[in-house]
Formats: sequence, C-alpha cells, structure tokens
Amino acid sequence: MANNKIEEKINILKEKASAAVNKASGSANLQKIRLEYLGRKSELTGLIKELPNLSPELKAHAGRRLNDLRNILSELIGKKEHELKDKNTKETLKKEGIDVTMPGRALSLGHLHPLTQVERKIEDIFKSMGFSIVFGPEIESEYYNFDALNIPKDHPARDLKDTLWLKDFGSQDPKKNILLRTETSAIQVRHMEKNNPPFRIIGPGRVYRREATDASHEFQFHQIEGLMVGKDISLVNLKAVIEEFIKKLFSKQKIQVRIRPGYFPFVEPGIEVDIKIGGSKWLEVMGAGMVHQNVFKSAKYVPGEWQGFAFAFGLERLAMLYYGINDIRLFHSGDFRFLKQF
Amino acid sequence: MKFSYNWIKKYVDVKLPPEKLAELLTLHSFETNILRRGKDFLLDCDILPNRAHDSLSHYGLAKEISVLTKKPLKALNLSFKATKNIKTADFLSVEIKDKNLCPRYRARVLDNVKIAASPKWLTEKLSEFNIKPHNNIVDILNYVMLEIGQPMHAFDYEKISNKKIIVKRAKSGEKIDTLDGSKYDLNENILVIADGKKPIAIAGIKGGFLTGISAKTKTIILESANFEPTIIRRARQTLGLNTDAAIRFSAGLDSNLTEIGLNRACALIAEIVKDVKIAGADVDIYPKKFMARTIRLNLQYLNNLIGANFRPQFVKNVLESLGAKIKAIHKNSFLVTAPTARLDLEQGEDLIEEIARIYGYMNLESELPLGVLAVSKPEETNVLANKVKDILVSVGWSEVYNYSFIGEKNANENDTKSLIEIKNPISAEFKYLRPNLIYNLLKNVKNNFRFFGKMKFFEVGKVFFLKGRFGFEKEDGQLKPEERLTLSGILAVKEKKESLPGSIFFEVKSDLDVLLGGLGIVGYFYDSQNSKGDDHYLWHGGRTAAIKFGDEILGIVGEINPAILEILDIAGRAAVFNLDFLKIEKIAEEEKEFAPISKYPTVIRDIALLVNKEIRVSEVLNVIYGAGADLVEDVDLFDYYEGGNLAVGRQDWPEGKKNLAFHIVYSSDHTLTDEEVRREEEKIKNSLIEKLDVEIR
Repeated sequence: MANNKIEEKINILKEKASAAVNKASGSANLQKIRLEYLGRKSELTGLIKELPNLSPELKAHAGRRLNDLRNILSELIGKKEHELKDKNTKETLKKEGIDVTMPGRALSLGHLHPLTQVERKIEDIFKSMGFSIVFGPEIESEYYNFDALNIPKDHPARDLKDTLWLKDFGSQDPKKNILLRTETSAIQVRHMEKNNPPFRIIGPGRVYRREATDASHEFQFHQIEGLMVGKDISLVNLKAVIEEFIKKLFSKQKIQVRIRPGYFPFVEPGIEVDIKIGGSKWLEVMGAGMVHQNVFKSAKYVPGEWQGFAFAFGLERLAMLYYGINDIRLFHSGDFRFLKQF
Repeated sequence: MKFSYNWIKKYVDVKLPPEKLAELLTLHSFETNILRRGKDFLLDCDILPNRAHDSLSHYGLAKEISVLTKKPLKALNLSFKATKNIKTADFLSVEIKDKNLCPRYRARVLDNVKIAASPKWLTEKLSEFNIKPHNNIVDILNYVMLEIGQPMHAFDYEKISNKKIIVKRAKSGEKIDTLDGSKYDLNENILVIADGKKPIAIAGIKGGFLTGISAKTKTIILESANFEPTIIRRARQTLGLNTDAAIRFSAGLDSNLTEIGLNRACALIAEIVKDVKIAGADVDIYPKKFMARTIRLNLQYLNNLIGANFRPQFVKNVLESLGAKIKAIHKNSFLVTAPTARLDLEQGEDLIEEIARIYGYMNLESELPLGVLAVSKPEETNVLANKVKDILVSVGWSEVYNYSFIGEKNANENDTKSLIEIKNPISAEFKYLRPNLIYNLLKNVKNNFRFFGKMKFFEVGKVFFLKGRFGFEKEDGQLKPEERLTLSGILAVKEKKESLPGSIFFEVKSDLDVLLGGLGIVGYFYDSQNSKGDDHYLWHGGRTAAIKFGDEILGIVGEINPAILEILDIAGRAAVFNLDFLKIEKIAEEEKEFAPISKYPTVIRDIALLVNKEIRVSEVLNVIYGAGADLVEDVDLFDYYEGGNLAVGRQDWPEGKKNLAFHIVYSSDHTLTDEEVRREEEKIKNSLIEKLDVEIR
C-alpha cells in the first residue's frame, strides 16, 4: 500500500511540476517555481524526508525515482530559463529597433582646395626624385624678378609680362624697386646666393601679372619652379625629369610629351613642353631650359663651373587638365558649389 | 606671323606637304599651325622673340626651312639697271644726330617715276596679308618687307625742305600728320626723320603726310635704315602705333639687311615702273658698324651640356648651313663666326642651342640624372601647412584661395595707414594688398549665402602690411612692405536666432582646440581681454578672445561685429579665427617631452558653485589652479546654468547668479587617501569663497 502511495505521489508531483514550469511567464515566476518544487520546503524535499520510513527495497527504488525527478525538474527549469532569456533579449532588441535608413549626424569632411590637392601630388612626385621644396617672397625686388635673371632693363620680356608695382616703393635701384613677382623664377638667384650646388629644388608659389582675365587667363595664379644644378647636369636629364613627372602625374591617362624650342632669357638652350592627353590637341604646359651662365653670374658662382636646368609651369593649367576644369577663374571664386566637388 | 606656303616654295624646293612642314618647324624652330587659304596654305608660325629679327619674312623662314630640309635656298634677284650719272649724294645730304639710335641710314634716289596702280599679282599678294594696296612704289616696299623683313619708306623728293634728311629725337611739342590722316604729338623719346624744317616721318613707324607719294610725284627717295629697337618699341607704345614696320624694328634688325632691301626694291620697281631712272650710287651713312661675332665653341662642353655625343663633322655642317664660318683650332674647339643676320648668336650656349634644336630635342635619348641620390629635405612651413589643412578639413572646414587684394570699398580708414597700395592696379576692386584674410572670407560668405545656409571656410595665405605698424624699427625712416603667412577661418550661418548664446563662437573654439591639440600645442589659453589690433572694429566686443601662449598673442577668435555684417549686406552671423602662422610654427616645433604615465589611480571630485554672472570661467579656473592645491591635475567645466529664460518658474533661482560645475582630477605619486583629497578640496573651496565670493553648493 505504502509502495503504491509514494509511486503515485511522485507521478503526480512530476505532472504538476512540469506543467508549472511550462507555464512560467517570466524569470521571476520561474524562480518562484524552482523554489516551490526544488527548495528546502518543497514537496520533493518532503517526500525525500519520508524515505526512511519505507521498507528497504522500496526505499532504494523510491530514492532513485526521487533523485531522477529532481534532475529532470532541474533540467526542465534550466531549459525554460534559457528560453525566457532569449525571448526577453529578442523583445528588447525589437523594442530598441531604429530606422536605419534615417540620415546620420550632419557632420562631414571639409574640402581641400583642388590646387592644394594637385600641388601635393606634384610635390610628392618631385620629392620622390630627390627635390626639396623652397619658398620665396611674393613682394619681390625688380632685381631678383628681372635683372638677376638676365632680363636687362630694355629687354622685350619686360613688356611681355606687365608687372604690378607697389606705390611709394619706386626706386632707380632695382634692388629697392618693389613689385609683385611675375614668376616663381625669382626664387632661382635667391636660392643660389645661399646654397652651393649640387642641389635640386622646386619652388611653388603665387605670381601676379597685370593682364586681362578670361576663362584661361588670371592676373593672379600659381607656378611651380624647378632648379637643378651640378657639375654635369644636362638637357637630356631635364628631358627625363619632365617626362617622368608628367607620366606620373597623369598616370591614369594616355599621355604624350613633346619638347620643342622655346625662348626665355634666363635659359639657353630654351625649350617648351607640350602634352597630349588621349586624343586632345597638343597643349603647352611648361617652359624650361639650361640655366643661362649670366644667371650663375648673378648668383656669384664661378663662371663655367656649374651647369643645370630650370623649369616652370602653371599650377592652375595642370589642375584644369587634371580635373577637366574649363574656367581658370573658378579657382579663386570661393564658390562652394565648385569647392565641394573636390 | 602668317606665311604663304606657295610663296615659301619659290625660295626653297619643299617636297613636304604643309602638315609635315608645320610639324618639322614646330619640333625644330617655331610652333606652327596650318590654315587653308584657297589654293594656298598659310603657315601660322609663333616666331620666338629672339628670332623675330631674322624670321618675320618669307625669305627668312625659307632660310630656316632650307636648313631643316637640307634643300638649297634660291638666290633673290637683286640686280637692276642703274643710271650711272645720277648720284643720290647730288640730290640730298643725310645726317644722323645719335649713332646709337640709328646705326645705319641708306637712301637712293629714283627719278622719272610714274606713280600708278600696281599690277594684279602685287595687289593680290598684299591683300592676302591684309595690306591695302596704294600705288606701285608703296606696294613694292610693303612686298619687300613681307619678303625679306626690311621695312622701307619712300619720300617725295620735291617736298623735302632744304634737300636734307636728319635723323634725330623729336622736340617736345612738335606734331606730325601721318600718311593715314592722323596727327601725333611728339616728344624727345620719339625718333624722327626730319628735313631742313620739320619732322617728315616717325622713324621706323610711319611716314608723314606732307612728304608722302602722290599721283604727281616724279622723283622719290627710298629709305632703307636701321634703328635701335628700344626707342622704336617705346615710341610704338607711347603712340599706340603697332605698324608692321614698328614690330620689325622693335626686334632689332641686321644693318646689312638695309642693302638687300634697297636692291631688292629697286629690282622690283625696275620691273614694273617703265623708264624709271635709278641712281647709280646711294647714300650710306653707317656710323655704328656691326662686326660679325666670333664665338669659341667647346665641343666637349656642347656634349656635356646637352648630354649627347655630337660628332665634330655634324656640328660643323649644322653651323655652316646657318651661314657661319668655322675654324677648327683644336680637336675639341671651333672658332665660329656667326652670320650678321643672326643677331641672337652671341655666345657658346647660343650655338649649342642651334645644334641641339636642329638635331631635334625629340631625337635625344632621355636620361635621369645620376650622382649621389639626393634626399628631399622637408620644408617645415609646408609640412605644417599641410597638417593644418588636413585637420581643419577633418572637422568640416573647406579651403578657399582668395585674391591677394582688397578694393577701395573694403579699406576701412582705420587700416589705410598700414595698407600697401598698388601703383597700377588691375581695377579699384584690387587696389590694395590684403591686410588680412578676413575681408575676402566675408566676401565668400556673402556669395555663398545665395546657395548655402551654413559654411566653414579657411585660407592659408600671405597678408601684407607696412612694417612699422606694430612698432617695429623703421628702415631709413621708411616703412617697409612686409608679407606674413596667416591662417584664418570663417564659420557663418544664415540663421540669426541662436539656440545657445554664442553657439557658432563655441563651435569655432572647439574646432580650434582640435587644431591646436592636433599640432601638439598645449598650454595656450583664451583671454577675454581684447587684443587691440587695427581691425578692432571688425569684432563683436562681447564675443571675442585673444588666443595666447604665455605673453604671446597667437591670434584672435571672435564673432564679427553685426554692424559690420550689416554694412556688408550679409544677413546672418559669422565667427572668425585668425592665427599668425609663423608663431604657431615656432611653438609647434618646440620639442615635446614625454611625461611618464602615473601608476597610481587618479581621483575625480566634482564641485558646484553659485557665482556672480559677470565672473568668467577663466577667472574661476585661475583661482582653482592658484589655490595651492598641488595635487590638482586637471579641471573641466561640465555644467553651466544661468538664470534667464531657463529659470522661469524657478522662484528659488537667485538674481544675478549662475551655476558652474567642475570635474577636478587629483593625482599623485602614491595612492591618494580620502583625507588628502579632502584637504585639497578644502583649499580650493576656501580660495573660491575668499576671492570670488562664491557659494559652494
């Protein structure tokens, strides 16, 4: 009789406990159920306490059964616990859901001016060929801008570039007569006075000309000057440096370089450099040549001891070709509709 | 200049089609384009300035083409039947006042001339070059100019007073009526041809009306002269007379061309003017003889400078084809006598250029320079400028490049004394060099407000002012023009209403903190004491601070005075910063020293204060740092609350007070105890109460 009785109790308890666990509605509820069925005051514990009153054979059997029941219930509760946690997490995530298609914070990068971007590319190419960067003043003396560059007073080259002069700073002495430099070549003798060859430099900067503006002319623009001097720097070196530079700058395009005679008073021989991008016309981009011995004389170098090359090109012109910009005036317009494209 | 392809072919047997000829000229001499003109082609050549003296003519270009194609140049017909007993010297005398201005003057008398219209071939040829036909004599002279490049002039002999020709500077106040019906005022800087009484031509530029050829003219004087280029160029500019003759004389011509010109003109006149009697001898005044130059050419230097290996025979052939005479004095050395027609050949390098270009630059093998591999030296200013630009772009600023000038309207009377004025400005809008970057940044804002509501622009560029403005030493009592690299930025919003007072000011300030921090500059501070610059009227008095480092002012940050914005018609708000780039560079370069990271934890305590509204955060910070609490490592304002609108409904808010709350970080070389921190806090609180009368909350 006692046998059947405990068997029956265990079966009922199992049914009841399993049903309760399955119905558990949340973590807290489940904890209560755990306490109710597995705690010290639970029915299960009560039955275990009754074991000593049973016959030995019945005791062993009922003991195993109760032990199993405890394990089964523990596992059941554990499983349920996981289930509830997962459900809870899912709900939280769902509740926290956002419209990911909404725009982000209204922050953005600014824009580096296209001339700065092209100038950096150019500087990197020349730096890779060992050129250092130097700067010169924009307010310049007539001497460094003209006289020192083998452009004497009455030379037609002084007509070609109509110069902007500073008021109240006129002088008969070209070293004291002040102007806005018309070309970065003014850097040449300044650099040579302070440095002995061999050297290779580029000098980027702003220059000014008194001329009418249109889509391809500005009275203020930028040039990059180049100067390399040594014992045996030759014209084929100049040719190689120019070709290397242009091929690297326009590396993504099919580019051809053409070198033809040119004339600038501070070089002899003088050359001009044209490029052809894809199927375009030939476009003039650079003036260059072998430094005139009179320029070395201005720098107080021993005559005949040094030879070298110089070149100069317009930054705007190259940037226009690089980006396909059709109006040079855009660079100084400050128009954000233009700037934000770079 | 434009050249007729068919005309050129009369002098040199060119087999090349026009396009090929143009390419040959471009690669070796002058950039050339081709234009079609009926059955002919025009070669549009960009003659280089140093070759204008010998190449602005068909025969001159033909000579160049003959060298390039190695085809012989045909001789011109220079012969004519002269009348022996007529001698020009019996008709007139020629006097040159200044031999430097007129190195050579030739004249020849032609008698029994019948002035008539020119034959068709001649008028047609001139028309091709947009030269209006006049009569047989003038037309021939123009033709000869196009053919060989020597400009000439014909006078009506009967009209020349005292039978005298004098080449001299004009007198101030003299006038001349020219052939084209104009009248010109002359002065001492203009060279004229005068007769016994008056100027009869502007030398090398245009003939006078009174002595010009007319239908009645019987006897003429042909002038073929050589003038100094500078005086012609100046006169041409002064008078605005860019005649074909003036352009050629401005380039400087070979004195020997005067003879060729005269003979060629006479030969052609003899062909088309029947029974003309050409004087057997001309007058040739040649006071300043031009001697052919002999130049030493070192062949080793030639090959070294070009980087080639030209053989002596090749060099000799090229130079001889140019008309030079060669004497070899050594295996490696030539004595070269350049033809007088090539005035540009003065020294060895000039000859080297001829050899290299005729060989062809494209035929030379390129070779990268050898020698010690140079390592590029970084240029500090450039490196820093790039860093500054990158940081600013990363926090949303866009770079602009503005003009280096400002206009009359921009110039406030406050800065005119330090402004640098341009003597010959492009226009009133660009009259002065910019004294700051701000004026033009404001212009950028105005223009862009049409399309954008908010913008952040910066520029790194030179500003210009007269040294002396800041109390520098003046040089010989003179102010000196100075340029200085500057960095400025502007943040502008169209919306005038603010969500928080000074929100754009603080946005600029936090971006500046990012910038200066990124450059490794610490220890700068904002001083509400306004810096007294010349441009103080630009700034909003209550929203401007000097950026200082020690005693040094690095720059200014502030809002633009709304009254200024109104004057400039900018509807909105704008905050600006301005930094002296060189000072930033100096400080950024100073070496940073590493401070070891403390092994002991720091302690953070907060403190909240109720203070009078006028007290500035910087004052509170100064008191906290100066309270003698040595363990304080850092102080941060984290909360700020001022009565005003926000206090409505809060009766308990005390009038005229604001609340400030700070995090204070304490650290030491050991683990801090509560008691130590409490003692430090005590010092701070006492100091605040004593000095600023705060209420600790």
